[in-house]
Amino acid sequence: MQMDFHYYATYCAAYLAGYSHQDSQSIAYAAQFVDCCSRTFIKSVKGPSMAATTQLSMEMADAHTNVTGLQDITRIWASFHFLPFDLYAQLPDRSHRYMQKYRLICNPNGRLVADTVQLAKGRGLEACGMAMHVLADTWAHRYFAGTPSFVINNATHFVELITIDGEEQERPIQFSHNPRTEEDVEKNRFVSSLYQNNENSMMNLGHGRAGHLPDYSFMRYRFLPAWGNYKEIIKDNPDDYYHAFCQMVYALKTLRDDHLNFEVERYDYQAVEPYKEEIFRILKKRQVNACEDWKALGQKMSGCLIDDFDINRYAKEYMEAPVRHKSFLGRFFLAAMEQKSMVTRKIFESGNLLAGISIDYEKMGFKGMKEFKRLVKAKESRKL
Amino acid sequence: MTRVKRWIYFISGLLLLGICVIIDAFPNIGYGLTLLLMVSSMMIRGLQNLFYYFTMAKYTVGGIVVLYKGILFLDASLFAFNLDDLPKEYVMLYLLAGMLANGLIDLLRVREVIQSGSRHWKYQLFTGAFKILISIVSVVFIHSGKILSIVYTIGLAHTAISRMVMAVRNTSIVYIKP
Repeated sequence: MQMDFHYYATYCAAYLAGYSHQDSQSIAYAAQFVDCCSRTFIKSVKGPSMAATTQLSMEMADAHTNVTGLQDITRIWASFHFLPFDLYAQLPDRSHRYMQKYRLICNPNGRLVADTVQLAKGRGLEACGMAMHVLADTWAHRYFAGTPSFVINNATHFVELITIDGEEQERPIQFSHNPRTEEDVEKNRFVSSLYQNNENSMMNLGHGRAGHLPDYSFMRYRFLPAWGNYKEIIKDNPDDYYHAFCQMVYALKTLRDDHLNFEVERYDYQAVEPYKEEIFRILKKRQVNACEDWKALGQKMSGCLIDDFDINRYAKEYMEAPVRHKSFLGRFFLAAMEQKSMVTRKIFESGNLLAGISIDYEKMGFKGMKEFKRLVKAKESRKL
Repeated sequence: MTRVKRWIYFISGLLLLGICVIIDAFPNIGYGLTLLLMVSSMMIRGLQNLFYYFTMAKYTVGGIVVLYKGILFLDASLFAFNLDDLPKEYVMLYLLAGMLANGLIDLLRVREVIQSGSRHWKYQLFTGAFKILISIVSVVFIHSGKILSIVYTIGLAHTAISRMVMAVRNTSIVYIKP
């Protein structure tokens, strides 16, 4: 997903869930900021590097794919963009090593989505926005894993399914591997990562091999995933994105209400119904960037102007704040570290070391990376 | 990282450092040892690929390529083991290409960091420029076995130190119950 959905559509979902215009903007900002909070950005504001929620292309080119490097990559991508669906999945005749990777495949409505939304409760609008990013990505990024893996994330035989004059047709999809190439939606030419049969190559991270196809709401296509035992999968983005939107509205309502708990497989179709036709029109429109359409819909809903996204909007406030963790970015960084810590813990508890070792503070005391002391302080201040 | 893995990383780092010292201290056997290490690493890579195929890639669409790759590397390493003499220039070019690519990536990364407004780019600029400089100097001395050994030991020492640092670094994530 891109800014059109993470920022503007999240704003719409928050507004429909009952948040004010200002609060909806904050939630939307935090949701989009997950795609911007790289180590490079964090360094520029002198924040905690463990709060990184994404990696820039050059950071990825620079990343080490040794044990600790892979764990760091997995923590970032599995926690925020490819939330694992079933950490205890079983398959016959597969090695333990294979299953560790297989269990990180992302899909919506897994146990971890519920944990993510639950974790955001009472943590402020920044945590809510972050949780919405994670939830929405479980729909867009389904069938791929947030760890470099040739045996999971490689994919081939992409064919678009398109309806022309009421008749379903198939159009071949061409991929270029030059990141500077412009994507051509009309000619079905897209950019994807290079084929690499090295298991831990960064080219095999997430949906790199499928390019931005999962990020375009209008795309309907079938493809052959590496893990699928030679069975093709049909990915219906308009339908998935609509479900993501309805689930976000429901999730945000549960976050507003202390008496409600988020449950998987629940969607607020009723609240979205008046806008269903308009939303599907945007989702199915053949365009790389749907920001203008979503923005217009959001402004129509609230009657207020939505500010354009600016990555540096809160940077100065954070750097000049007397108590940094009380600023917008400070709260965002805390929420990011809590989410990363929670997902790493769940993966570790399942016997999978791909995201690294997790130490329970209550049982073992503080024995981990120093930056996580912020979480201890945050918990103590919450108790007070 | 588990405790066992930490020890493995630390000891292998120490061993690699020891090899660096031997290569530089005994120049007469340095070039031979460098070649031996390079060919051995190729053989290990071949075996790794075969292991990877039989434990993971055989379940995967298109995974058969890994089997071919494993056989190819193993075969090439066995072939290289049987060669009496390997031209130094070829070995040097192989090493330099890797170092040059690394240096260029470092410089590209510096550009990205500067564009993002961060001031933490000086060390990266230094390492990138150093790698490129070494590559250029090595091209001038492409026929020298001694320079080849030095270039190789720089890379090897870097790997060794990285491994040892990785072994002692605290990478555990702290979990605090909500």
